[in-house]
Amino acid sequence: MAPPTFHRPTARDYVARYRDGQLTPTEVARRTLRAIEASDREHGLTAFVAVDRERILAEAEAATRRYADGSPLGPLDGVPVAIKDEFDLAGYPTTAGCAWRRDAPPRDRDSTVCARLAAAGVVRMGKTHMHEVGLGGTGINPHYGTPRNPWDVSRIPGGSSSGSAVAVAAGLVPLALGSDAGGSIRIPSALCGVSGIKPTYGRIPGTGGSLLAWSLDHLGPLGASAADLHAFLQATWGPDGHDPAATEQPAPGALEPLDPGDLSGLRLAYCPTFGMDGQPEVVAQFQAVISELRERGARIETVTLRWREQIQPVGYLTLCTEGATSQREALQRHRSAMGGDIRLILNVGSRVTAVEYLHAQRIRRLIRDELVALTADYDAFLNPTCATVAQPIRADAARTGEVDDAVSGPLSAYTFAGNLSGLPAVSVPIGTLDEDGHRLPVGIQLMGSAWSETRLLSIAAALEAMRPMPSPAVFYDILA
Amino acid sequence: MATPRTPPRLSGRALRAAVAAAESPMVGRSFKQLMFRQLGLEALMDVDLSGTDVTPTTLPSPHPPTGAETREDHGTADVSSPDRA
Repeated sequence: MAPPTFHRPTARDYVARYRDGQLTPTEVARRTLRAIEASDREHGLTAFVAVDRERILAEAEAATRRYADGSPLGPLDGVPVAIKDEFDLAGYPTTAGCAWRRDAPPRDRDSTVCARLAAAGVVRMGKTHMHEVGLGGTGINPHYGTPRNPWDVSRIPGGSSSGSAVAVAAGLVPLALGSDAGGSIRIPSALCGVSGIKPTYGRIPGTGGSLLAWSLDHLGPLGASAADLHAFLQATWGPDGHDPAATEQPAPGALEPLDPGDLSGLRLAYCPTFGMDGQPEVVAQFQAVISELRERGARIETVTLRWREQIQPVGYLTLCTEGATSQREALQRHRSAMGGDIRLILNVGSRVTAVEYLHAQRIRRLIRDELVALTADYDAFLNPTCATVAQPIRADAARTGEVDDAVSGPLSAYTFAGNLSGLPAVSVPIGTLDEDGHRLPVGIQLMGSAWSETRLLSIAAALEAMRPMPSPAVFYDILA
Repeated sequence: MATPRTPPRLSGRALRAAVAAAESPMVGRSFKQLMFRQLGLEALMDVDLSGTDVTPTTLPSPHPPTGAETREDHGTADVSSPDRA
């Protein structure tokens, strides 16, 4: 592991600078705008699809005035947060990565999540690229370009929240909004070496989002730290009266400060046959963390998962069927403007029968019940987030899109469990491995019981302290 | 499950041909079955649930959703301490 000489600025660092008067949100927004331009020009990162300078500076100036008046709104006031281009942000079109939406008119109102971020004082830092309609784990988008992984710009960032992960990983923002129907927050978080949480189903309302699969979709943040993810969650959780999935729920409590040197209060589990069949170096990193947690006193037990082999197939079938339904009219009207990968998967999904879908949902029920029972007994269930590190972007895949189970299969092999069950799951970076002269991040996934996000993020914070990460090859320190 | 089950890598011209097959009224159904086989979905359909009394779930509803609160509870962040986050 590389020496821990790198500190990734967190939202808390931003706010500390504002409070002590070293920086203002306006100056930070200007620096961020310059860094976004530089990241495209110098490295072709293309994390952002749309950046409205005037709107951003107006929000930053309002935050600057609040600090000057001594009345900041809270722990995220003035913090730049990037928005996945799947969610309505007033003044911007919402393309969801689709070419046929390229000329869509700007939205006249915010999605619920964006409105809540505004109420928290956040500077909404434009819209980030994504895999088309959110249906893919690589982040490759033939229409708008593929955001580049800051650890190695020849590699995929992961998806579908690709631009959000790249923006955080490269230091352009400390937080970004993502969504996750099969791993779309956790996969790019792991591949780009940042933290990300898919909260409990319905935790953050999806109102105003161009979502893909009703029973699988979850909104959540990618961020510089677990504490930042928690702050985001605190600003955005709870029903809004519109999204039927966002029902009554307990508030996320305060983070528990765990001592990374003494984790004897933790009870954790992993399954030796779920998550151990990936890239050997990834498995080795995971096992090293298990050993380290044990050395620090955590009680770790092995468990069995009867339905483990059905998790990814049920996820695939549910995703492609619900996706084909939500995109039905788009597929009829705009198929020639769709990437080949999306068009193929949606067509296959269109041919799934009701019997096949409901059979899969019966198996899903068994999977869910098993995972609910398992997570009731432990603080977290652990596995590698992805079975591999980020893979290279192939030229024809970038042009047309790609369907390649050898690439995308290992990315979502373990993440679907959280979507099928609705249980919260966090991805935390635990180190890097060397491949072709580049350091590439590895992530660990922690899944917990319903509404246990705060407990998971407390454990995640301890893991971040345990396993500090080096800097990516491309990084902009906005606060320096 | 991490081991790829399907050798085909579809991009460029091969992907365009696959899309044409998937959209074809004549072979689209067969193509779906091919994809099912390659992605492990055919095996899913072979899972025998006859001994189980399980109803399908079309929406995940992780339980228990207890301790209901409303959004009003949450706008009272203590801004005096950055540790609040």
